[in-house]
Amino acid sequence: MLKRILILIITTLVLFSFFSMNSNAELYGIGQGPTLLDVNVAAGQTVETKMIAYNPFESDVTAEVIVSDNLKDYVKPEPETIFIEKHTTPEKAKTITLAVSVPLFTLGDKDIKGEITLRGTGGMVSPAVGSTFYLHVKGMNTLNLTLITIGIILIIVAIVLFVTKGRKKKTIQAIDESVEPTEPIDFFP
Amino acid sequence: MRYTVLLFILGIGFLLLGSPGDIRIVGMQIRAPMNVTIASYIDFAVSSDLSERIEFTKGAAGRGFAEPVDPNTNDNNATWNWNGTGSIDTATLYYGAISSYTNELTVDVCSNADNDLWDLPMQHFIGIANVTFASSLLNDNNNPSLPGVQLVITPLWVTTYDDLTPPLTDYNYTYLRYWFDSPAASSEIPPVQYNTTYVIKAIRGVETC
Repeated sequence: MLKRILILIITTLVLFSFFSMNSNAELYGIGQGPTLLDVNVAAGQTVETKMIAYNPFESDVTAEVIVSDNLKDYVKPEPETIFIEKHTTPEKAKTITLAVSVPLFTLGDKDIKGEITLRGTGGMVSPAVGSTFYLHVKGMNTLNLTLITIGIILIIVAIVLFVTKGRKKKTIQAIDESVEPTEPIDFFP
Repeated sequence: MRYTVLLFILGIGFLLLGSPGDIRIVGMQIRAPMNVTIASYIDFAVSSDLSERIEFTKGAAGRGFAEPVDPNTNDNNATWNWNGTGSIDTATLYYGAISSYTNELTVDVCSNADNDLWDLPMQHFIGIANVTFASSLLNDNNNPSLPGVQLVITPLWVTTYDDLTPPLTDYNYTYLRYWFDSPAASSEIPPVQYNTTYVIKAIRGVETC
């Protein structure tokens, strides 16, 4: 009886080792969403958009967020490096914030197609995933520039007037205070 | 004083008018379209043997054992191009996978190398185009294909597998094999180790690598 149990155990162990040897090895990777981002931003504005990072595979992963060269001037990710535990689903993902800002004096509209890539770090072979990022920039045109220039000039004029009038008032007041009150002249003593 | 305030308000007004942001005019009737977009995800992983490294070995062995590659030889195998153990002894241990969380219709797998193959003090290099690969959904002795029909790795992204379909459950795999063409011996290419970083990524199937 004992012999049979031993044979059964050994057979099970051999089969188990055989199958485990041939089963797929651990997967090292990462996931992200959404796969398509479409952001509209006007010159001078800053908007934020969110991405998520998850990892349904069998190894923890540290990944860096890489913004394609043509978006680097406009898009800043936070964090830039992210640690994601294994077996995380999109519902329990970590969040990456992408701050999108365009300088005020950006001339003309722009449509830029770039990519936000999440790339696993640490190995000589890096797994990565990429999301397409469309950035539509509404920049300054001639009308915008003219109106803003007029606005700035009017504000400057208003400030100058305010300051100079204040000074005049103070000068008059100072002159008034410097004049000593005289006794009324009695023309008919 | 009144004129000053008026000028200031006018100035602010012009600034607001001139800013390139949207100006919305509110009408008497509001028509609101209703729509919903399902969040899209994409994920990608590589096998532990692939994530560790791709190491090339002499000749056609490619069964886990690395020997220095002879100069002026073609199609030297990566060490795990063929698994030397178990019943699937003809299979490659290099593969990528996407999980069922990926909800794009298809996924393209792309790859590139950060650089050419350089020695450690970065004095000598071998062009990355000397490294080639093949991919397949099948994993046996003939797939991914044998040397001769493989694609070249470049510093630019190249399509490694086109239109991989996400699975309903678990994972879908794309299997890979790699080869190295060794240049002729010369003082420019001393017998040392040459390295680079290889990146393999997944993107939406509608995009190009």
